[in-house]
Amino acid sequence: MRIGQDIEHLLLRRLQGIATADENEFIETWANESAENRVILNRLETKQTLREDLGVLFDLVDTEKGAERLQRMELHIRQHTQKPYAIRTRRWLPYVAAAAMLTLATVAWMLREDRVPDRRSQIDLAQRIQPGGNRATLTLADGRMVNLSENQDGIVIGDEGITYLDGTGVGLTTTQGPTDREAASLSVYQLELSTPRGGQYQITLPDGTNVWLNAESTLRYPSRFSQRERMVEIAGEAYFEVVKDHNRPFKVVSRGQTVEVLGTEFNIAAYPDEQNAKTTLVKGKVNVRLNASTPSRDHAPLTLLPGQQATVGASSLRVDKVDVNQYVLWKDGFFYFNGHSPQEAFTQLSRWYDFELVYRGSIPSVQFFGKIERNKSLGSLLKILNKAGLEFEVVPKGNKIQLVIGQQHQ
Amino acid sequence: MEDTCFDQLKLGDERVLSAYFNRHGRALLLFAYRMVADASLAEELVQDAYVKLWAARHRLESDAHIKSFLYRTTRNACIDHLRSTDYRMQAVSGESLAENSIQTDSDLLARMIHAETLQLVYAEVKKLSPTQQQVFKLTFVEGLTTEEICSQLEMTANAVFIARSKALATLKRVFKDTDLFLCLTFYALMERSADFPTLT
Repeated sequence: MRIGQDIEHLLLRRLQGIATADENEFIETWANESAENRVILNRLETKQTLREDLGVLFDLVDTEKGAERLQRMELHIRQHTQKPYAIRTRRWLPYVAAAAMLTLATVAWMLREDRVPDRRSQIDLAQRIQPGGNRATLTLADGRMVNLSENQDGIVIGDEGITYLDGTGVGLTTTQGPTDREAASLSVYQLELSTPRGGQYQITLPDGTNVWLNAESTLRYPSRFSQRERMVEIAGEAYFEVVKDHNRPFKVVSRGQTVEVLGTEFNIAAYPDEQNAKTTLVKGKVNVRLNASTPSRDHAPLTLLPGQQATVGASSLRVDKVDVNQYVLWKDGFFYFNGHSPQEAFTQLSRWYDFELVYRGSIPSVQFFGKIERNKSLGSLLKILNKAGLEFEVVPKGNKIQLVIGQQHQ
Repeated sequence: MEDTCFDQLKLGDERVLSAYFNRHGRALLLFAYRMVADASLAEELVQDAYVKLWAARHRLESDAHIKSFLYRTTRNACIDHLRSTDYRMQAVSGESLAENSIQTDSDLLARMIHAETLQLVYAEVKKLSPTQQQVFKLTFVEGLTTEEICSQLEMTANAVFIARSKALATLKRVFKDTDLFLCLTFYALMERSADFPTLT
């Protein structure tokens, strides 16, 4: 016997008829160790019981119900092991309350020409920080990770495998190793598309649904949808353009909530390090249901109409009418701020330009307005903010930077 | 690969749980189902075992340790469940079921090995093409006749024959030809296919 090999691998070899004499002898020794072992060996080698046990196993895991069961279990495990909300505590959190009280004193932060600050060299430093681009990693069922091309906008998950939007292959021979392509299309596997900070990518799912993934986000989806529902999971931000299918609702699970639709367009921002998950509806109709692990789970599902946004937090839930553009223009290449707080705006910027954000002292109580292209360098963006009178400091950190917001001498 | 998973677990990366779920989850379901005879309950108990694994990760020392932790935790949960139902049963019948229910370590280990071996067989079958898998399931697992398979697969008898001999050819590759497993499969197929006596 090979040292360290589990007895079950030897038993498989025996069933396959390829166990060596030594291995068979080892199995015999094992079977003699206890009455229970002997029973198991007989059970495996008796046609009737082997058939019975395999039948139960296939029933449990290899039927449509079985595939759903496994997906449900993995989801449950993930939801009960994820780190709690807002694990990366924000040093500005205590200030939020204070900032809220100062709202009356809030100055709409418009471009002003009356300041000539001494920040030239720092801005030059930030000039080198390029905006994000098409970057993503695809994780296959067997754990292999594929870095996707930066020259492509997105991928298509088809019956024949995975290709880029222009039809070229992503450089995978099969989706899951040296087995049949047919087999790959029959079995259901969970796949994962992840963008880093400063990355975005588009994906077309097996049902034709398009998903745009914003920076620092992960979409988990099955290689094939079941006949009853289409379920995916998102951590981070994504824009969904769901293909209508009345027989198979499309479900998006994120921390704390499940969004259920038949066919519509909407945006979900559910970053693990943020307090709230925001679902913004562009077209059609969606239901937002709280997940079982959310404290206020007994709340009835919310139905959103176009232009509405649901905000689901650890212990809160509300629906607002919003300017949809604020939440979806990123997919068309813009930051669009319409009265955003500095926290909201800078968090978006830091994800796209991949810089570290530090607040010094209290957060400036200002609001952000404007539409800025996402393909500008960070330097040109900071130039605008500098002109507007924002106090900040750019600190180099390796080949990245830290942006310290707030007054220098305090 | 195994080492990386273990290290990731120790580092607190909860995503690695899905690797352990792939490795033992199906076998654990079978293991639990054979004890409680209820698929939804088995599902619940097994997923709980993984959540508990996560909570206990700091005191686990190896992959083998993780595996026995998962089986032991699932087994204990099954026994707890059986006991709680047993009290109700006992009130009616005056007898206790829990007395004969599996509690020894050697029984736990044997059942674990049984379930794990079946998952390995399952993994071998999953290497077949979809049609081959289906024919395998219908004939070997469900024991259907050729006619029944035809109607299920909407194939003609000839097509079933072809698919089946292809399935057998692949099984032969996967399971070599002298093997017991293949013999079993053959017998199962031959029994159901007197109309194709040349099948070898």
